[in-house]
Amino acid sequence: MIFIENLTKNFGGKEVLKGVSFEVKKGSITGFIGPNGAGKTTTIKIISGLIRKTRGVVKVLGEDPWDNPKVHEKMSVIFTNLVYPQENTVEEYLKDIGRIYGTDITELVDEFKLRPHLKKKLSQLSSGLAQRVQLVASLIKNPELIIADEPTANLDPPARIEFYEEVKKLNKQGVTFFISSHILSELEKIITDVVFINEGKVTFQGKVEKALKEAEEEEILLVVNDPEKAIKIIGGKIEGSYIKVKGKVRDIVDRLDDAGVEIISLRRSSLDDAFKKLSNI
Amino acid sequence: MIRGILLSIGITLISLSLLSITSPISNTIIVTKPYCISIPSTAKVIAIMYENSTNVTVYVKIIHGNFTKIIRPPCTIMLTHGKWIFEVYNETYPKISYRSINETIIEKNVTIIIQKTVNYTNIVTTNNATYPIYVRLYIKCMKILKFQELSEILGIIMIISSVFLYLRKRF
Amino acid sequence: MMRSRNYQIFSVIFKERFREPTLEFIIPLMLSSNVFINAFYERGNFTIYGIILAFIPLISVSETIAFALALRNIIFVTGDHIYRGSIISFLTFPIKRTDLFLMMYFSDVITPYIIWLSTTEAYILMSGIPVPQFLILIYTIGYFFTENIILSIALTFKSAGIATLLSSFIIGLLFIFGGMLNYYELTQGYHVLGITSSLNPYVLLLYEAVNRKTLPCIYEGITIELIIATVTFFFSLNKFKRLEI
Repeated sequence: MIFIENLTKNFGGKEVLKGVSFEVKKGSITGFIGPNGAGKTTTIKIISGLIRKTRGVVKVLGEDPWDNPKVHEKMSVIFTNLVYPQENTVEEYLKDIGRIYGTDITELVDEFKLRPHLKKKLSQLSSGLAQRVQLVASLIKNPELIIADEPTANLDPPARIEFYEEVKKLNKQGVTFFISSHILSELEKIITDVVFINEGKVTFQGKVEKALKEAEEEEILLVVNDPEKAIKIIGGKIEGSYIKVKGKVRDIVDRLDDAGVEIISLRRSSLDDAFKKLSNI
Repeated sequence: MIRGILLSIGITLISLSLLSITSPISNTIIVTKPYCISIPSTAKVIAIMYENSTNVTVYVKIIHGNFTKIIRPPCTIMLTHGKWIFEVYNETYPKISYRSINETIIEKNVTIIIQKTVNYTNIVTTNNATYPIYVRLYIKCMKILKFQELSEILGIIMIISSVFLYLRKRF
Repeated sequence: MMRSRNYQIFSVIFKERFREPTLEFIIPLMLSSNVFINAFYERGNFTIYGIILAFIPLISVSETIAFALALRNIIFVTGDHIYRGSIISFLTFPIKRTDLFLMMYFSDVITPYIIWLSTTEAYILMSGIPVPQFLILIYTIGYFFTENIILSIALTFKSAGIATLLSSFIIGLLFIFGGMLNYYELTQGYHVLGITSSLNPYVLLLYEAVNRKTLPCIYEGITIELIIATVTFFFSLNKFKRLEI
């Protein structure tokens, strides 16, 4: 779906992307993860045909996306904020796009429960609703690929959950997703593949399980009923309401059980940890 | 959008066909060389010709299409649609001339012939006019549109069409 | 009947610039403001001098409206999209950038011109006033000359405020000082009148009307304007094609 090789981008003499290479496979939900300023948005804009590359190979659906209508026919892009003229109503916006692609929007409007909001102006929508409208707009053309640049950055937790539920549903129907984010905790629940980027370079790409495995020595986060007693038994350090300790899960659970310490919640290594490890942070 | 445009243009056409510029304008032109003016069909113009009050009489030649007339100012004419040319035709003035005459007087059987100089007035006509004429153009009013009836009809058709389109959409 | 995709995209772009009641307001206003042609014609004793006065931009209401409408479209619609980033919606349509630019140019610049041209020609026909078509040509070339400069400025300086101020300043400077320069040239000798006539050809037209003399250098001025209009058009096209958001 997306093939990038040695992608370089300079802005005013400053190299923002330094030879980025990765691939997004068909049918996957690929997370594009990196801290602020890593080059995620720049990469996404190059893939979307909004910025030109300085050097390298970029192929989206087999073609160079710059000034290429064929790519835009099958690809949709979702940004953090709705970028359409804000004075239009939801109905006008969706109908305009529907007319361009020859699609009747009624079914999508009903499926995403937008009927009560059709007469509202885009500038009046809440973040969650705006994102839903963007998603509907992106589906009107029946895309094969949806690229999302930090789509949940402005959303509250319930809206984020709703968004990711829709992503899973659409992925089951065959849509490939390429989602960039710096909020890893939710992303890791749905993505199948991951690309880490830091300071303009890709530090890892591949399956999520592989990334988690490569984090090696597992860091375990526990919430227990008696943290002080637990520290004496398993070691580690207290971080907020969590105890952070390195070791094997089974061993730690057994020791705490034997000592009568109740484990309220247990979390193994996350993408956060994998990212930090693989990006040498 | 089409309904609104048709309605607004229709109203505009009818308004323009009913309007005219009625504040009169007056201009005085000093004519020494031939003066040409094209009067549009929408304007009502009166030309008042006069000369200055000297003992010279200036005659004016007026040409309008195939029509040519020589008139003596002061004169008022209505200027109809078309091209009008005003030019000084000729001027006449009295010239005092002198001549000697012999007058015979018989007195006590003696005949005396006296030579006398008498003056007489001669009317001279010349085409090399030196005095100008004054043409005062008085533009009474000017209609906005030449084809008033046509614009009224067009305006009405447009308004009716817009109403028809509105009713069709409504019902 | 399923209209073509390009037509649908054009329709979206057009409707955005000419929402109701823009055209319902602009078209009759342009049509009716042409009464000044009659007024100036009458005042000028039905001579060409009065007609030329009536067709000078800023004196002519309909020409000023056409110019202002195009300026608004360029800076406050298209320009605004670029400055705010909402141009992304249009750049992600399945259309080549050149086609998108041409559609925007047609809606922004050519449509107000067409409205002006059709209302003016209709008015000339209905009023029976003998307006020389040369005046229409002069305004046409001047219109595209100024609007293409404004478009280049809007695409170069990514700020509505700067674009407006700079455009007004440059166009105002060219027109007003160009007129003064032409007057000076006419009174002091025709040294560079061919070049200066491109800035404000109306001064030369008035001179021709008053003195009943023709000035061939007016054609040089029109040619220069046409060249600049063409160059700035292609500059803007190139800038838009290479636009990165």
